[in-house]
Amino acid sequence: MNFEALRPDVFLPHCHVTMDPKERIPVYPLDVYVATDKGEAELKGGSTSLQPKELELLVLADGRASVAEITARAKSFSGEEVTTLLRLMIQKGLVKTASIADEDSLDFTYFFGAGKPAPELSAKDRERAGKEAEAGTPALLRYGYYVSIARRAAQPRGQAKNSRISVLIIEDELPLAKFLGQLLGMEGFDPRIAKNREEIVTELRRLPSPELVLLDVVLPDADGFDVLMRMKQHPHLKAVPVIMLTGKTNRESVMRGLLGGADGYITKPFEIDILIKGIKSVLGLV
Amino acid sequence: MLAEMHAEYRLALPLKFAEMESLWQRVEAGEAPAVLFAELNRVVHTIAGSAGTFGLTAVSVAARALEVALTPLCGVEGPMPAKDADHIGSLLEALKQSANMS
Repeated sequence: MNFEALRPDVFLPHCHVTMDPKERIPVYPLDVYVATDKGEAELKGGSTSLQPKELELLVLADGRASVAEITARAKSFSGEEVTTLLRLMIQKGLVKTASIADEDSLDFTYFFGAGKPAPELSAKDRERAGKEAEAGTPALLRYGYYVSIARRAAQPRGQAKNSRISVLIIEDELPLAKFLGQLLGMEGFDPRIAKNREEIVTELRRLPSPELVLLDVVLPDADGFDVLMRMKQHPHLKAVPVIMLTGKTNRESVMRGLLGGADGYITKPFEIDILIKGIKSVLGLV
Repeated sequence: MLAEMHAEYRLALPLKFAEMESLWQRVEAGEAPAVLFAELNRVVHTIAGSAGTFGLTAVSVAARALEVALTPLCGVEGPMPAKDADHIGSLLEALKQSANMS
């Protein structure tokens, strides 16, 4: 095993937290972690300097999944990396161990440890638990996973006087597209709108290329994640930053967007100030 | 600007509700439920996202509840159980009523 690769300064070259290996914070496979207020602020503040892997872990630390489950779900890193990164994130105050109050799940099996199964439920308890699960699951989905993640650009951007940054808005809901267009125009951007596959292709081919794309996911004849993937495979368009602006409010969709190369993920309904902050952050204007 | 667009969006809502109603009636009539559910779900999903942005929070919440109920039905062929039909029907009604509360 290459332990050198797990050193924080190798694994996360931009991370400024130092860690003494002798004072390692214990992280066990059955531990459950959840974002702290500081971690939540990174997810909802519209501007974050966290590394992609830190963001991925912050999204996966949902107060329900154990470290072992997170490792199984994480797409881009190993179990050792998850453990190392969690230690760093605990030190930075981004995550904490989940208390019972943090949980929105009825599954406490991790609490009792591996190899010690919880006693069987009686028929009456099973019926009651079933009703609770039925009532709870839609509520979880209904309230959704609302985030406003936007990565800060690596370099601040200099902007020539009177030049307007071109932003492509991919949105099929016309009133919302119009609203976004007006809003961005007032903020000094040059907005363009595409509502369907044909318009997306036309706008992405049109020169000069957009300097930022706001991308909805559910479109009448296209899938936003598919558009993202194609952009990131394209030699010219892959450098164009993308912010997903979508009503897809579950952790899996957020992960899919961020892992697909999106620079931000903002869920609808959104706050205007947060959206503008996110756009400026991704473009290096703040 | 927001107030103006908010009013414009509110004016357009009855059209969206009529579109939902029409799709729902076709589902109830047994016409290609999988395709129609997917289309109905898309319309409802759009309302859930946009209504809240225009300040119609109650509409957004009601649409999200309907979207959650519709999602598992998308892609399911064959007649819909009466229990599901009643549930969707009542959530649709609640969504229409929510426009008066926002």
